[in-house]
This record gives sequence, structure tokens and C-alpha cells, in this order.
Amino acid sequence: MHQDTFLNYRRFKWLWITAAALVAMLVLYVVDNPLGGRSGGSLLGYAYGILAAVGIVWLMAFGLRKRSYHSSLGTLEGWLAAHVWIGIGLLLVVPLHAAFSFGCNVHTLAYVLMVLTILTGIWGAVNYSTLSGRITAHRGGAKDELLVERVDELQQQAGQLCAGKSDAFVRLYNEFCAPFKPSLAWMLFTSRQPVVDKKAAREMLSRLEGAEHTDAVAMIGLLDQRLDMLRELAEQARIKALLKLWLYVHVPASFALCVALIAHILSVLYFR
Amino acid sequence: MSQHFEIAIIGAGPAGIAAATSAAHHKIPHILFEKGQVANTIYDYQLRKHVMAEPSRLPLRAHCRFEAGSREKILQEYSEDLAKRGVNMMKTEVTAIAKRGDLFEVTHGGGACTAKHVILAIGVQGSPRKLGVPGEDSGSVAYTLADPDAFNGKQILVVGAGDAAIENALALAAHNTVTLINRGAEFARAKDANSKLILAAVGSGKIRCFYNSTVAGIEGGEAVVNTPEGEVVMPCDHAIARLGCILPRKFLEGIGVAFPNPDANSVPSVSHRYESNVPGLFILGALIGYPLIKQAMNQGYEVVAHIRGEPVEPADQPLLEERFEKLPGGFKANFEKVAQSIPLFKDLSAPQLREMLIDSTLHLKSAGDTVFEKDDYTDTFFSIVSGSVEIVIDSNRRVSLSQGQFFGEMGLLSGRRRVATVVTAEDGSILLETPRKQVLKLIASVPSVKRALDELFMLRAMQTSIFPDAPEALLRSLAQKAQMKSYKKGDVIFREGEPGDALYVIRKGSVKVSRLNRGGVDVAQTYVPAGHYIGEMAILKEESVPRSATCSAAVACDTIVIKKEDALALISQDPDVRKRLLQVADERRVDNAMSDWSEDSGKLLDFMMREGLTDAENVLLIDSNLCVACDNCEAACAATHGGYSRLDRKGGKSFASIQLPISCRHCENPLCMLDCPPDALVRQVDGEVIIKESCIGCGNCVSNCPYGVIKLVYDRPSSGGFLLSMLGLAKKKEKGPAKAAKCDMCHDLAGGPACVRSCPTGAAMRVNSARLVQIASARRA
Repeated sequence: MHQDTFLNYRRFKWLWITAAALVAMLVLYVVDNPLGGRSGGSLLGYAYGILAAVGIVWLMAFGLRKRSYHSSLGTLEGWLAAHVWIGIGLLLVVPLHAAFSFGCNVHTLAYVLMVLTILTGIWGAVNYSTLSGRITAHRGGAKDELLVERVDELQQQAGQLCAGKSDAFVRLYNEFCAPFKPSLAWMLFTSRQPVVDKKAAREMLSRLEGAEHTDAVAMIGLLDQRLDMLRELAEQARIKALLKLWLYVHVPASFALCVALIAHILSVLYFR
Repeated sequence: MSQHFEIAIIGAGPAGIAAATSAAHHKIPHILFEKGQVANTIYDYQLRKHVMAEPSRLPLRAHCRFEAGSREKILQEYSEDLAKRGVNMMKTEVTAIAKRGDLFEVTHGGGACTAKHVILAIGVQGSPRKLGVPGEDSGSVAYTLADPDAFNGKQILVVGAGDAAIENALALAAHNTVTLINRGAEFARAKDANSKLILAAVGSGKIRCFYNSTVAGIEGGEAVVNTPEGEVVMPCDHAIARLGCILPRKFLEGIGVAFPNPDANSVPSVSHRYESNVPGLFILGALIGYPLIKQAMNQGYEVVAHIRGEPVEPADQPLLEERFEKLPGGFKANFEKVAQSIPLFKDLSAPQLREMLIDSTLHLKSAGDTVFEKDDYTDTFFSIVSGSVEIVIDSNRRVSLSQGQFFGEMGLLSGRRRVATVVTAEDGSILLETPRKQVLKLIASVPSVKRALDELFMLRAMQTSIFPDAPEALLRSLAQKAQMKSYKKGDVIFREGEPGDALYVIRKGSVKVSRLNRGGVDVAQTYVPAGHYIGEMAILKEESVPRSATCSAAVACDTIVIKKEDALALISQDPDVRKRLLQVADERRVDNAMSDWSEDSGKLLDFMMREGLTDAENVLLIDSNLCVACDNCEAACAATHGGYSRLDRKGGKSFASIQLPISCRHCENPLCMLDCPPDALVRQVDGEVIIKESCIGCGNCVSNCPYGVIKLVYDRPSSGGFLLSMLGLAKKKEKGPAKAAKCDMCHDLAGGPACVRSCPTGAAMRVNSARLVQIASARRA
């Protein structure tokens, strides 16, 4: 239904602007032949350094713009588009500034933190554009609270079927009701779902007879529905977590970057 | 020899009592006749009823007391004042009045007398209007209600939308289950206070109310009611019908009183001194369309002063004169001009005219001044007192209107945007701008106004939508042959495949067009809003042509039906019209042939209609393919609106990837505006509906909005910002009263709606109904 997203905003306007700037900077860098060789201390190096620092400050200002709800300065979508593409562009601006010299020092620490910030940002951008359509609550699907209620109901209904049944029947019930406790890592990084051992379940079912057999089939139906819902809940929780999780790295990393950047600038000015 | 009096007053109601006490005060020989009780209408009110003294801005000038209070107190004061002033009252019925020379002969139950002046103040309550349906005279149907406490635990149907019906319904609802049947969509005729009370009672569920509904029959403890949603049968122990009364026209005509037209509802014309065409015969109160007690009493006072030869200004004179201040020459030079220049208002009685003028505004315009712009959302009605205006249809076509003509009725009746810009053509043109509510009142009470507006609406609808170049005379004759037809929601207007025999212009509401797709499933194709026409394809040719689609009412609709033969007769006289119509029809045919709507897109359209989106002027939608559930839209809304978000992102309905948050959609026909006592809900020129500071927090709009988007909220005390509150420096603000709050489209923000501007992924968007239909059609399979 929609044409513009934050990535392709105005036909990738900010990607083209960033790319053009980078090409220009690269050409200048190649053409430039300063005394004492290319370095962060050359005129062009300083210029690129200032540009990068200003860029970082502007990128961090996104947090303020996001909360300036009265602002009439462009739309947040446009700002985010610029934030993403210009941020990615910095990956190259900074090496150009440093003339690709890295070491084990506060200067490179700042670069590493910047890369961490940008990579988590890219991760967020990828999540935003791939996961948003999978939030089912948006699509007229049941809301989470209702699903949780329904899961409980189904388990109770299945549990009631166990009354007065054989041990084999109860074992079958337990097979389906094994606690489902995904680890955090599992929740976030795998979309594999818990499965019931079908072979074992079939075997257990075949040992039941008569009315117990009929009830067991009904019970499996209920419990299978319950599992489907649990999987759905886990998947939704995973998506929602992924849509937020990256920010918990991205934002602190950006502040750490800020501190390292100040240390870098001060040390450069002091030890010049 | 019969007795002679200077003044004979017929009817001891408020007007008669005021006239009689004035006459007695000035020691004028007089007689007051009353066939029943003093103030019979008030006497018939339910016990302990609180009687109001509307209009509150009007002072009382009579020689007897009246102020708002209980029925009993007012009756007692009337009796006391009649006795105190020494009024000569005779309790008998007047059977005939005849003018002989300069004198009136009054024949009454006790003989006869003569009088120089007769003041007729008999009111209209003597003959109530009946239901006109089976069972109207059965024992369970009553036309008055004296004691509401006589009913307990009953199922009671109250029919009517005036003050009497509202008051009866409210009183009965204390101990009974009450259903109110309102023929219209509003309580336009009721006093403001009453309409507020009834809407509150309906809103809280105390009284059930059917709007746009009529009673079809009452029999055997059941009532059948026709509602826009279809026929409803309900239990009914008693029915109270308060449908107003029939004017005793024969009696009046017997005296020689002339009526402006043959309509049963028309009232006799009187001068501004309430004198009828029979010299010396004065008619007051409800008989001339003035049902309010205070007005009737002032009229009684004024008439006696006039008879005494004492110059007297009507009590509302200062209010009226204020209206004329801006015009050169003021009131004196212009009042008669205004009164006589507009034929539409010629049937208004002098008091009706005065009331209309008091509510209206007179504008003095220069050539080139814009009166209103196309697509504006104003809904007032304009009449040209002098000068002329031009309606700008497009850059080449302008229609000129001159003195006595009127415009702005399309917006008034259909609730839609202005269809054209109107500019003043002459310097010094005087325009009369009348508010919608006042015109609706005139339509309801003056039949000739209703008829003139209906015909004009048909004419203009035909001019703007179908026959823009046809001569007006031809269109007028077509308009006279055309009929008005109303449809309830879901009613089929015509079916695909039926032979077409008429063309329909949609006056109010909107129509759903659906067709069988290639798979044989009936699929919604589009909707047609008010002001457009349907069914033209089948009537353009002499031979019978089957309908190419099914049309049904998406909401309750009023249509103008033009018969095929009438339309053909017009078309045959104008080959250009025929050519253009055929061209449009062919375009629609090609569209139809090429489109095969999938069931999905049809379902989407159905969803939109179900959710009322075809009536939406500006609705917030969220593309759930893009939404990342960050809730920045809600945060933005809250931050820009005193701490409360006016949108609920998760709460609304959704269809496919379109999510519809609970948020104001700025309807074309905003139900929230129906009854706002302080008129705080207003439609801006650009279409957005906003709530002004004058909101009193009554909650009428909250209950009237079908989409649940209005809430009553307290202004959340402003913290003065995050930093200040962290430092403990935030100023505490007093908690104000609860007021209605809803989306205002951020009309005071330069950038526009904060929700959309704060969406980082571009998922939030605002669209109007036309764009919605585009979205639906873009999803064709």
C-alpha cells in the first residue's frame, strides 16, 4: 500500500547524496599529495576529521529530533533515512581521515566503537524492514493477552480429559505438555520451534484402546492447538524483542563513542 | 342589546393573559374568553413539570408575572395576577367571530357581544396531530400526558422530537422502559436545554432512541417501527404521540383570515404588530408560529400598547437592530428591503422573519470579495438582499445570481464541502447569511421554504452533476417532475440486470456499487458520494437497457429520482447533453469491462464502508507492513496534546495490512457535532473537526461518535519538561475541568499532524475517502 519506507525514502535520496559525497572525498583523497604523506594530521585529514566529528554529533542529535514532537523540520521518516545512510557513510569517511592507519590506541578505540554503533544500527535497520510485517497483532490476529488466555483454556480442557484415565494416557498428555522454556538466545536468534516427538506420540496412542483412544485423539487436537499458539507467542515475542534489542547496544555504544571521540580530539590537540 | 368592549381576547393562555392584564391595567373595557382552564396548555402539562422561560436573552414586558418554575407555581401566579388586575373573564367557548362594519360580533356560549378589536390567542393545542397509522385511536395511544407517575414498569413508546415528547420521555423513563421515535436525525425543534437532557439520557442508555424512524402501526401490545436499519417490532403497553397540533384553519378562514398558501402547516400572515389581514383582528402566539410562553406574553403586551396608540418596540428590537448596524442607513433604511427582497422568505410570519434575522448576519460586500471558496466546509445559507454574486463553476463558466436569489443550499442539505467558489459581482451587495440550524427550523415549520429548497436542490444537483448546460427553464420543469426517495442502510436501489427506468441523484448519504465478478460473486466496486448520480447508463437509449451494476445504500440515503422518459425528453431537446452523457456512459462501460475486481479488493471496500471510512475526510491509517510498534505516534500525540494521546494505535480494527487506529476521521457528516450545547465542535474551513475551548464537558459528542474517538479528559498538569522536573523546578498546574478531547489534526502545528511526522518508518499516513478508494482499486487482483 505504501511507496516510501525509511530506506528508499524519496527514491534513496540520502543514499545518493551520501554516495556522491563519498566518491568526491575519495577522489580528493587520491589526488591529494600532502607534505609528510597522507595522515590524519594533513589539511585534508583534518577536514575529514572535522566532517566526521560533525557527522557523529548530527547523528546523535537524531535522538533529540525523535522526541521533538512539535518540530516542523522535515518528517522523522526523512531524518531516519538520512541517519541511516549518512551513518553508514561514516564507515569510510573515518578511514579516509586517518589515512587507513590503525593501532592499539584511543584513536582506533573511537573507530571501533563507531563501527560497533553503525553495525548495530544496520542490524536495527534490517530488523525494522524485515520483521515489521510479521507482527500479527497488526493484521487482525489475536492480541497476545487473548492468546495467553486461550493457551491456558486449552490446557485445562485437555487436563480434564485425563480424569480417570490410564497411566499411558497421562504420559501422552505429559509428552505434549512438556514445559516450553526457551533460552534468551534461542528466543532471539532461532526461529526453530519446539516439536513433539511424533513417533513416540504415535506409539503411545497405539497402546490406547476404545474410549481412551477416542479421547486421546481429541486431547492431541487440543494440545496441538495449544502448541501452535505457544509457538506463535514465542515468535511474536522474538520479533518484538528484536525490534528493540539492537537499540540497547546502539545507543550506549554511541555514547561510549562520544567519550572516546572527545578523548581522541583532546589527545590529538594536546600531543600535536 | 349586547355588551360592547374595546378589546375582546379569545383564549386565556400566556398571550391572552398578558393582553388582558395589560388592558385591565390601563382600564380599557375588555373581556377575556376561555373555554377550559386558565392557561390550558400549561394546565395539561405533567404534574410538577418544570416550565422553562426561553429564550433566556429576551426580557419579559407583560403586566403579569412569569419566570421559569414549576407548573403549579406558574398557574397560581397567573390566577393571582388575573384577579389582582381585575380582568373581566368569561368561562365559555367562542363559537363565531364576524366583522360587521368597524365592529366584531363575537358569539359565545353565553350570548354575544361586540368589540372594536379582537385578539385571537387560542393556541393550537386544541387539536393534536394523530399518528396516522393503524391503532392511532386505540386505547393504548394518547396524545397528552398529565401524570407520568400513573405509569410504572411499562413499555412505553414516545413519538415525536419536540419539547413535549422529550419532556414526557424523560419523566416516564424514571419508572418505565421508554423508547423515543424521532422522525429526523436531530432534535432541532427542541429547546437547547431539553435537547441536551434527552441526548444525555439516550447516551447513558436510560432512553432508547430511534432516529430517522417512524411508527408503522400499534396493535396488540406491540409497535412496529420503521428504522433506517429495517423494521423493528417492540413491545408497547402505551404510546404517547406528541406530534404537534393542527391549526384551526377553518375557524380562522371563517373570520376572513387569509393564509399565504394552501399547505396544512402554513400559518396566517400578520403584520409586525400581529394584525391580520382583517383590520382590528390580532393573532398571537402558537397560531402564528410562536410557541414560546415569554414571546407570546410579550406579544400580548405589545398588541394592547399598540391598540392604545402607544408606540412600543418589540422586546427583541435591540437584538434585531444590532444586525443592521453595519449597513449604511442602519435598521430603518434596510429592514423593509431585507424583508421584501427575498421571495423564499415571503411566507414567513413577521415574528418568524424577525427571529431568523436575529440569528443571521448581514454582510456588505464589494465587487470581487469572495463569499466562500470551493471545498470550504462551511454550512451557512446565503440570500442576496441586493446586488449580485457569481458562482464560479470553472475558469470559463460562471453563473450569475441576483437580488432575491439564494445559494449555499448544497452544503446545507448534504453536509458536504462547498461545490463552487462564490464571489461578489457588484459593489455594495448586501448578503444575508443564515446559520444551518435556523434554516433547518424554517424548513421544518414553513412548507414553502422546504419546497423551494427541495426544488432548488434538485435543480442545482442536476445542473452541477448531469446537465450543466441545459437551459434552466427545462431543468425546472424536470425538477418539478422528479421525486424524492429515501433508502435505509443496505436497501437495494436497483439490481444488476434489471431494466433501467430511472436516474438517481444522491442528495444525502452514499451508495455502494457492486457487480458480479467473473466468478459470479457480487463484489463491491466503489461507492458514490452525495452530489453525484447513478443509473445513467440504462436510461440514455430509448430501448430497454439492463442495469450494469447493483446499487445499494451504504448509509441511509436521500435520492432524487428522474424517470427515464422525463430525462429522455430533456436529452432529445439538447443533442450536446446527450453526446456528453453517452461519452461518460461509454467511459464507465469500458472501465467496467476491463476491471474484474477480486473478492479481496471488494472485501477491502466492504471493510471501509463498514467502518464508516467512506465518510472519512481525513483518517489515520497504519501500514502494518511498515509499523515497528515503536508507539512514537502515540508519544507524539500525547506530547502535542497536553499529555493525552488522542489515538490508540493497537485498539482499532484492521484489514489485510491496513490498520485503523482509534482516532478521529473527521467525517463528512460529523455526528459529534449534532448536539453540542456551546457549539464548541466546529468544522474548520479545511474540513477538520475540532473542539474549541468553550467545551463544557457534557459528553454529548462522546456518546454521539460511533467510532469511540472522543474522550473526556482532564488537562494533565504540565511538568515543564523533563530536565526541569528532574531538577524539581517544574511548575505545578491546577487541574482544570474535564473536557472533550479528540484528534484536531494538529491544526496549530506548522508541520501538520505530529503522529504522521513522528513515524520513523513511514507506516502512518493520513488519507481521505477518495484516496482510500484508490488504495482499494490499486489492490485489484
